[in-house]
Amino acid sequence: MKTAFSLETVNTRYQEPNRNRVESKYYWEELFQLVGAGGFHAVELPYDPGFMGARCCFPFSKVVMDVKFGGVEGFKKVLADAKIDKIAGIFASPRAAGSVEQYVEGFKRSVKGMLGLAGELGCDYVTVSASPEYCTMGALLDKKAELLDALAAALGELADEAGDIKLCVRNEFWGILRGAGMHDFMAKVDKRVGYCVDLAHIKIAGEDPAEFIRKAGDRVGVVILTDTCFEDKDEVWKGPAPAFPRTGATQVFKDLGQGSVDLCAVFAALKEVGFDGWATVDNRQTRQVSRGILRARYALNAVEG
Amino acid sequence: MEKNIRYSYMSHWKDIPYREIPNFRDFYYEDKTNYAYYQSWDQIFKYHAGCGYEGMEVAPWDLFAIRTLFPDLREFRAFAEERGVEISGMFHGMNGGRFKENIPRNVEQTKAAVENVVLLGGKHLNVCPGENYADGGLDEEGILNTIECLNEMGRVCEDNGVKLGVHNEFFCIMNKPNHKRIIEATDPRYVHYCLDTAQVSIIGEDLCKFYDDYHERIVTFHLKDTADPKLPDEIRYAPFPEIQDDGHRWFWELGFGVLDFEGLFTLMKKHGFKGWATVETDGTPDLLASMAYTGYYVRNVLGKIYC
Repeated sequence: MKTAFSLETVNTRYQEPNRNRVESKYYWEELFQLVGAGGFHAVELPYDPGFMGARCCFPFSKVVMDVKFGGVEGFKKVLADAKIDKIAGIFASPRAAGSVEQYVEGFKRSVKGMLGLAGELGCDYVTVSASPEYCTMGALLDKKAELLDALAAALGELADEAGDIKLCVRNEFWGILRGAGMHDFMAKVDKRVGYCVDLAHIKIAGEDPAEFIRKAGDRVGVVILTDTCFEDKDEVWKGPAPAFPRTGATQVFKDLGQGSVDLCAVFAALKEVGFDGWATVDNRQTRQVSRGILRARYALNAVEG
Repeated sequence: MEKNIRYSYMSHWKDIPYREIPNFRDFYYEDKTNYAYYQSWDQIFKYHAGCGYEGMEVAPWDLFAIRTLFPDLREFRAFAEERGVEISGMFHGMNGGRFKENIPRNVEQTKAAVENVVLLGGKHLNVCPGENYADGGLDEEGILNTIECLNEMGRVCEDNGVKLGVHNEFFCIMNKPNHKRIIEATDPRYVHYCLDTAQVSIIGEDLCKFYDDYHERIVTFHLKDTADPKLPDEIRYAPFPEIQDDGHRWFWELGFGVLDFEGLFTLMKKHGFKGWATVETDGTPDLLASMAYTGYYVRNVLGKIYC
């Protein structure tokens, strides 16, 4: 098993003190050094081709890599200078739109774009959410079965295009594929498509992450190492902005090792199913990125011995 | 004594995830940092009011997250007003108005934007005409189309009781070679001007002379300072120059740069400006500190000249 660090850890969307720094290149150049110094020599990128062009230096699109880093090779060189020699994968979460046909077409277009960039970056995986947030689905909810059948077929087509890149489906606690519901869906999907197992999302949806991994078996394609203490007792997953529970402000996603996910049990389950892919740390909602890197390394050291 | 200037503060807040945080103490104790202090609109509006700002200007990219919490924008307005803050207006972008075929689309987008401004209770729609200069400046046809587009957009605003204020950006296509001509050629009944003090100075204009020359068209301000007036064209016209790789700031809090605000306020007094002025602090690491500092500055330094 190989470990990577997800740049989703960097908050680019919500207000926080000193948030302005992440807009400039210098921030990312130093961040990559800190990631490398933390013992992570691979990164995962969120894929966001539309975000304000290259106004900000979020390295999540080809246009930013071209304008700010002199292209993909320039970006990879900046990473390599920081001892990061691999972009393990990229991911994206589509938003709900219109009809089943429109949603699936948008999904396919987005994944094809991701596969193109992933090929240029030399990634091993692409992960994509198949379900938008429950509360944004509107009329799509009435056609849930039709939507899932269409998505399953689309993923099969996309697996043809993926080639050596492992295409994986993410599970989020706010989507219709939450928790154990993922297994029924994956049974319909081309076997070349893997599970993207996000530990915190599984736990919040009420499932045991280690047991989930055992059920997924050899279809585990990538593991996202996330942590949480959050218990969704009020079904905030059905409401707007579920990552910010209206029933009481809290940090839903904790830095790795700071929550209640049993990492030892997870690693034992991964060993049982013979997983040898990427395990990617994602400290989303971290309050301090650099502290989060070290916290994650401490947690991994404790598990791996 | 009735005040001539009402101060608003530009919302450079990124997405705010909560309306209110009733469990604030518990939330704070989760990580014991100042993070918890920037997570709800209840806090943000109270900071505005506490620093002496009566208004907030919003941007269209704020609305998605705002609507997640306040599906009806009138609810957001009421929430702000309960805490002593009015929404003074909204920023807006003209999209490709230099091309004739894009004018009808811009008019429709203006209708939608003005509808939002009215729901929010705002008085201004401040419009940045266009794309980056690096994407190609304005040729003669582009200038004429831009003028026509602004006139049409301005008519929509005026019909709804909103003032369209043209807003320069130092790196956009409406720039030093053409912006005075566009201001002068647009219909003064419909098209007004929002004077962004830093942007116009970075372009190369003398701030006080520009205001003196165009004061009749200027209905509102974006007040911010800069240490880089008269920036060379090769920097302004480069691709994506607004956010610098090394973190260099083009914009500073009033008094931290080199602009002559005392001269400007003397002229505002001479011309009897009345209305909203939005203080901006793009690029600050600490919006609350900047808000408190500039609140002091406009009251205790500039306010002695004109208020």
